[in-house]
Amino acid sequence: MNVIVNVGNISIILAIGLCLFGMILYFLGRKLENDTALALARASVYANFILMTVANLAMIRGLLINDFSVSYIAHVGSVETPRWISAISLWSSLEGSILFWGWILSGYSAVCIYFYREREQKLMAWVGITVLFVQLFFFILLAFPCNPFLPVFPVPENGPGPNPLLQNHWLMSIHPPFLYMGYIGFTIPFAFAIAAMMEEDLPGQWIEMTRRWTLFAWSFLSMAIVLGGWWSYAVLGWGGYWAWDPVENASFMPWLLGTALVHSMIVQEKRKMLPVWNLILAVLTFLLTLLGTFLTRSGVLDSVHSFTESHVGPYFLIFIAIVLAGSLSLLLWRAPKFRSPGRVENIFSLEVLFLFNNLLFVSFCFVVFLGTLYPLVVEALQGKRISVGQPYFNQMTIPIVGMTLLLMGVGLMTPWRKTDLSVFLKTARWPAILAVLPTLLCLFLGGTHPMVAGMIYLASFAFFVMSVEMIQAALRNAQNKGSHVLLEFFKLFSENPRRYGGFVAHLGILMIIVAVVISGVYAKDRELILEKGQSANIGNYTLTFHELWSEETPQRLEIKANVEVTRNYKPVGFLFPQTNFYSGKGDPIGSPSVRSTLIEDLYLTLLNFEKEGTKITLHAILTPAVVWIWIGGAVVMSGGFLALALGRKKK
Amino acid sequence: MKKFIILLLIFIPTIALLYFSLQRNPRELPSALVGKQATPFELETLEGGKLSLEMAKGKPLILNFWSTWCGPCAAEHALLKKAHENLSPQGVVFYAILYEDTPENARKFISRNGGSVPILLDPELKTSIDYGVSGIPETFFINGQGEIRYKYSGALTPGILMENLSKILPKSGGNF
Repeated sequence: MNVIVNVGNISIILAIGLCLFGMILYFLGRKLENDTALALARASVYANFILMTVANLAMIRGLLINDFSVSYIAHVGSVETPRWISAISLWSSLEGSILFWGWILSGYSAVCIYFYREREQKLMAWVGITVLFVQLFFFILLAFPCNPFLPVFPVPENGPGPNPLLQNHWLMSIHPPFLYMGYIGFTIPFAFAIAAMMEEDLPGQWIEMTRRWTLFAWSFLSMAIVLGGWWSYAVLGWGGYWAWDPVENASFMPWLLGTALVHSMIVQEKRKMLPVWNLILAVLTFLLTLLGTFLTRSGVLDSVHSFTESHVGPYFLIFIAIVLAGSLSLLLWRAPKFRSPGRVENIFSLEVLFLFNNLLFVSFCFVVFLGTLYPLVVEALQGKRISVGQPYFNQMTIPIVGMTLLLMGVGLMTPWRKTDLSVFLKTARWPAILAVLPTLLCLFLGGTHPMVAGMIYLASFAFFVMSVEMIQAALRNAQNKGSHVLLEFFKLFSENPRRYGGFVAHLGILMIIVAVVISGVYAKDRELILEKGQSANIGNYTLTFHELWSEETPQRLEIKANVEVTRNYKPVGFLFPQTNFYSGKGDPIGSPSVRSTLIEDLYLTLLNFEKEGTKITLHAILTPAVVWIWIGGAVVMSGGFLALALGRKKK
Repeated sequence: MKKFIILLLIFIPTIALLYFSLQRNPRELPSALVGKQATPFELETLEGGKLSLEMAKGKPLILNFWSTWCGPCAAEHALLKKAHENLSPQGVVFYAILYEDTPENARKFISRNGGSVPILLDPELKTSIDYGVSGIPETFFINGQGEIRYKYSGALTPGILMENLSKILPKSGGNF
């Protein structure tokens, strides 16, 4: 018998057993207040992480050595695939990605349970039960409908290789892990919310215990969404990064609610307000991650992510039904006991602005939810197929984004409880004046679209609110201590990491919003048919087609065009848009070639070519500022981590 | 009690919608032709005769677009062959329009695989264009009044064939 098949299946079966064992022990330990039972229950959570690690490593080893006697490897592996792509094929198809999911989930659970092993035993017992219950579901998927470790006989000599779209770019090696770290991380606040309701944790211990976990997951999810956009931009060849595709929305909805949660947790922590709201948000965010996975993994919606003809749909449906019924009942019967002891003292206070912030994010989420599920509702009721497109989403969301920007600037300089209007106006004066400069610059450069100018003003306002505060604080400290301003500026991050780490995350969001607006409004594109030696222009660029040739690698045939690029008559280099033919995989996959600068991207795709190499059709797209979206994503994530890492040290 | 009703009001529609969404096929695109009168055609057959939409009037018609170079077409061939044998005595008409292919290839294919569904030639693709054929196989289910009731893209399965056949059978029709 095959070693990998055995190791994998035994690990999964043992993990299922340990989930049940752990849940029972947690329950008994909680009821009888028995420490040994609780310790054993914790041990089963740790053991599950070890088992999942073993199963995943076994799969990765199998993928690396092309062990085609394992069903998943026979399905996604091939001798010709480069080894690093083989290794990351772990998440290139349904079964492997669920296995990987199980690994990360068990890891999150083990670290969380270990971290709080000596605190709040009663609360933690329910946290343990909840995470083990979620684990149980994924392990059942692994044991039955998507078992990646089925034996294959007779053993094939080679496999088809992973989906070409997924082996076309290195981003595929990081987008899914980031996404999973984000998605799965929201299981922790959910487990705590359930535990808080079961134990009637009225003082709201769970908020303090999960704030970091939520921020951690949120930071990963933020980056993952940006990476997904980047992958789509770099691989799919249509020159865009976001299409309000149902699958994109599926990741965006938990992000929106997660963002609301990250903010409203602060309100409960500082002002003891919104306890019920936080419970609702924690539950809904988790439910949306499940819904997203259901939509993408069960073939309900068609997209690059869906693995159609899978049988996980009914399993997911049952699990969602259980989670929905259970958590709704708790919310309806238990949550009302969580009355807020805090009261709004003044309308113009940070807590009220946070409330608006939450309303905006929840409305944003609702708009996306409606646009994503409305076609399903119409089809269910009337049998008609409709699709909700970009215009709906853009029209509905642009005002919300504008208001969020305004709120961000105002909120960052508003204190808790009560705002003194004269102080507020004094603080707002400089940012409001300074923000005119970037707006004028934008108008001067030709950005006369009112929406663009408005967004740039609001974003600059928020930016200057943050910078003015930090510069003033640094100046003050430098004066008091007699040290250098720049040094004091960086020291601010360790003095108040939550606030200034938050500033960095907000700065990243500002960068993304501005870049999305500019790149969306001012992108230009042309379709060019070029004979050998011919040139054509797009913007300030001139493109000259030199030659077309083919290269053969073990896994694919590449047709490449050599296009010389000059900008304002100065040579800037060559671009090589190409089309890849994967053996036995049908349609060719285009691979765009991009010249990225901080100002604009020149993006070329090879649409068509004559076999003799004399003529090509190019799609050339000139998009300003697009690179700032990816940079912004990294800045958001660093902000989140800065707040987490430094905050922890300080404590 | 009030809370229980709220619970049900949220729970039932959500799960019902998700359940429904599991039943659908996301790759299936509705054709704008469904519900419209089928465009008339008169085409030469492989044997040299002529067949037209008019000639099938009054009978349910299964109109299939195919070619010998298309894998899924070969996959559904056995089903069409059998369905034709069983259903044509009961009045169901089958036409298979050859798409972007040569009569020689079709003859070779039939001599190898058998089958008696009349094969119609569409050398200028006029009929294929009229029916908006974008990929093959595509199958149109047309009722006796000449109305297109359903279009299926991809290889037919017995279930899909029988389900859509029921849409074009005369209401008081016999037991197929």
